[in-house]
Amino acid sequence: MFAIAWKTLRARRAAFAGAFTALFCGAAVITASGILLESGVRSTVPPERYAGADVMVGGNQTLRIPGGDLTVAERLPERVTLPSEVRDAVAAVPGVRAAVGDYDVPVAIAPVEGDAVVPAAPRVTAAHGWDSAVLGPFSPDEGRAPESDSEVVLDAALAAAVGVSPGDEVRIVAAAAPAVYRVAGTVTAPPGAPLERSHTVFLTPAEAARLSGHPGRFDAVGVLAEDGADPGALARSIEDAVPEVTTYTGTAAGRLEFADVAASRSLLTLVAASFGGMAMLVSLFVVAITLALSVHQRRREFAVLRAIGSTPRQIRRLVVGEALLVAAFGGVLGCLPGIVLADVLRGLFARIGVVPDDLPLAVGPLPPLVAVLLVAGTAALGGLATAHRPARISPVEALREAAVDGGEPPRWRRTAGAVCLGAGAVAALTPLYVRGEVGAAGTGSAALLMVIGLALLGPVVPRRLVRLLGAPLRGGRVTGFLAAANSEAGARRTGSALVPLVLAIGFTVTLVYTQSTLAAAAVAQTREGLAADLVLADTGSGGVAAEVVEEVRSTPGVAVVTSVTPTTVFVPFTVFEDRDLAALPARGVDPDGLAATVDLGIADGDIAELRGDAVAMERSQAELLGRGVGDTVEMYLGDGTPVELTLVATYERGIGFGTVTLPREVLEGRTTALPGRLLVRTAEDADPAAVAAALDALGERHPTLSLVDRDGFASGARAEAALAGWVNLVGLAVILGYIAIAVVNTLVMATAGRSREFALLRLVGMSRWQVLRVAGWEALLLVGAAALLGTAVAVLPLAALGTGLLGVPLPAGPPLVYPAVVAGAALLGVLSVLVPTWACLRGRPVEAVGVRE
Amino acid sequence: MGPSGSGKSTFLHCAAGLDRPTSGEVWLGGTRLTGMREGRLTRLRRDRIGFVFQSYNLLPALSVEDNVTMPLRLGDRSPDRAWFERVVTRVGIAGLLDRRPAELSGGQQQRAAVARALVTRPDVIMADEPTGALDSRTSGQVLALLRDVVSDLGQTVLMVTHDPVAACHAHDVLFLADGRLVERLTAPTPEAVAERMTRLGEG
Repeated sequence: MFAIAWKTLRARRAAFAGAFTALFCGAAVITASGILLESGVRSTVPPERYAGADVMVGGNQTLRIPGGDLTVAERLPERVTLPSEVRDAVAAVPGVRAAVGDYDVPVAIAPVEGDAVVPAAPRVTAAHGWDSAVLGPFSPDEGRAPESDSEVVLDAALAAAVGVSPGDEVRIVAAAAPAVYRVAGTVTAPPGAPLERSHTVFLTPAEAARLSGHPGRFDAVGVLAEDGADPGALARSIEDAVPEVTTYTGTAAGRLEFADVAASRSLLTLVAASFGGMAMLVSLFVVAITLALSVHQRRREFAVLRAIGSTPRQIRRLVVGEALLVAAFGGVLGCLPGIVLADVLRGLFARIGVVPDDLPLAVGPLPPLVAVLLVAGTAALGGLATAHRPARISPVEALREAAVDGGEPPRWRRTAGAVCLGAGAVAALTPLYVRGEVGAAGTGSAALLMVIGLALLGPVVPRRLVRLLGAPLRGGRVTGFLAAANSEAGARRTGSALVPLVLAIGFTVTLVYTQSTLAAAAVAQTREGLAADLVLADTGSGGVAAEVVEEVRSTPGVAVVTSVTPTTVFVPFTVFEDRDLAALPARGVDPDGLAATVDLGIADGDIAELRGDAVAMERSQAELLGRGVGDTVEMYLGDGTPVELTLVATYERGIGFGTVTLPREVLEGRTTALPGRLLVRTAEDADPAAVAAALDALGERHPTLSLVDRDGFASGARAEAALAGWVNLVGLAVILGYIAIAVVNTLVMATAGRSREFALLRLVGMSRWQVLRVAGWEALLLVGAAALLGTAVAVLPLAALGTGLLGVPLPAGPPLVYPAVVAGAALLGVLSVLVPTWACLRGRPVEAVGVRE
Repeated sequence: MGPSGSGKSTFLHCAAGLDRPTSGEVWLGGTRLTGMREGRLTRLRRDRIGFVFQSYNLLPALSVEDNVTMPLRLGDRSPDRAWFERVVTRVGIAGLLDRRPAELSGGQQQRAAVARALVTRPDVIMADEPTGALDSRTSGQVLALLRDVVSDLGQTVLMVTHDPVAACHAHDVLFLADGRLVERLTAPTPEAVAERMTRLGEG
């Protein structure tokens, strides 16, 4: 049967072009998401400050839970620090010449007078102890090493950027607190590491420890090996001897050195996983409908095979064989554009600013291999499903049916279709129960499920709809009448062509408005919930130290200051006996006077009790976890520290202010996270302008602090929400592009399959123009039906999302997107019908009729 | 033979196992076709019956040779080269084996279809209006071919037609009316057949 499949394939390349396109593009999309995923796991940039270390040792940044299987692993967003005993244990491993504990303190640098200097190219500046200079190794350029705690050594490029040389004074801002240091010397970049990503300042080890806020706990330990020791083997023996650490050798040390690399690796993994999953579903679906259409167009051929003695099994094998052959070609060839696509996506993410420009893609053999296998598997499954019909019917029925386009779909399809529609409706209602990003993530799947349901129901729905829409045409003149009759009689063909269009409209509208609704909800909740008058934010010095918070608090006219520490917590939960982890955005806050700066929209409990080992949680999240006020919630902090907290309150505004709210003291002494923002409430009797002026003056003394009012804060929230939206939309754009290709593909296939019919129309006396008008009317009917169904598919998920997030059953967002999407899909649809129709009409009709299908 | 709607094609389809009667049983030789599972029925049909359709029904993507040997491939049998040569020579398509069906005339396509029916050495060839789509000269050639197949190769042919001239190529003619066998004519002549047909048409 494979030989026959091969021959058919070679003889009818055109007939398989459609299926090939679908599989080719599917393989490309899957490869691209696979490469992004692999890059998230493997990619790195070469280390700079750690370039000279043979092995770098860091804490274990992967969180696993007892009872969770291999897939239950979260990358910790905060640095896991190492106590000095770990350094000593590492130093004791045979083959280690020296083990250097390193503090990595994000700082901003400023001249003694004036604003902080943000050097143009590398935006990260970090302070380290002078003892870690050997890890570069940095070599002295001018001057000498720092000898007292008020002396500093800068890298030469940074010294030039700030305009200082040895003997001058410079301000270094750590945790928003500036201090003046004397420049003792400068150092040149390590050999082979041109300091393109970061600037370095060296302090005495004691001063670096003090600034880090966690003296005695290192951010990393650098290892210099004894001469002749193999770094790889040494790394393994260190991991064996000290199990709680992770070792990095060679370029992998860049992952430990650069926080932005670590963060964007998490992001890539996350985006690739969600986008990849969606891309996979969509491509499987598109491949299946394209195969179905191609089998349907060749139904007469299969009928003949049945009549001359093919068993149903042989037909199935033939269809699957053909599908596999096309999949092998399409899959293998599609991998190459997949690599290009991944690179384009990486470029877009870099442009948005969520991935560093210089983070390379990790292109291994695994993603293309998986893509080819998945595409082949889909083709086989899709082939099997579509072969069901030509294989099962009796030969005479086949020959008879081949002439007309009809027949009801089998019962299993109608049942499966109804089940998919139902599941889609249930998924669409998720945002009512799980508010926030997690709930919103379900809308796209809901729309997809409903479209799959429609596709399974087959021609039932399109036939009714086309009959309804075509009613006014039927009374019309020749072309309109014919178009209505054709569309209705060819309901199966109409249905196949309709599904991708419905998907394009329904999916795009759902996804775009989901993003805009989420953003609108974040902005609205931030605006409504912010009771503070002014907000101070730190940029570039890693956060705001406690003494700076106190300084703000003691400013005259300030009633309440709430420091807000953004972090992430991980809450274990159990689904169907499986242990899993939920990563939840969290905020650490000062509990004193919290109600005066933030109105979380308390649903239950009392936020004033947020003290000690306590936690407050967004209401739907608490309900989902099955916890009420007074219950204990176990969770892991951003660096993996396990805690058990008592739920004291639940609240409504989880999108604007984080799903979990912790008292600052839970984080203090456990994680290294510092507050990024201070929410300030002025006293009733104070003059707001005077307070603002006083805080502005404070900002002069603390060059990394900037002051915004409520509107500024809200627009900041809007910008953040927009950024998150863009990140999602970049991935989705690829899926939508793929769907657009599928729309064109199926419509061109369906239209090209009708060349004989068009020739017949010409023979009975129609002009080219009239035939084109018939096709045009049919295309409009099709697009109209698709617009109705696409809208219907989007209505429920978006209404539920609006109700859950905004309280009204309407999505928020630019109203013009909807008509633009419908118009775009309509244009695409009509062109994809008219262009191939025109191509069919170019030849002489007699010849076209003579060509047997 | 029989007038339009007398049940000729339905009878042939049922006899060949292509269709299932709503009541009654179908026996092919000593084999009961009724109630047989689709797979077995298909294999039996493939091995023991050759079928020639009015509309040729060749597979457009395959060469003539592949079309002719298709039933053997389906049956996973290797073609008997000598028999294959004999069939295609006898049928007169030996020079056309590399062509595609679209490159053949109607008569040539039907010859290829006859060769496809013969290639499995079936017990019987069933032909449903095999000349219905051909002009009179070409149909004469195809009918002569079918007749020669009977004489030279010893092949039984069961043919449905409404053309008295075509019917005269047969040894025996059975007449159907309203779904029943009503008459039988041995060694027919066109005049005798036409006369019966007129009578049935009136009745």
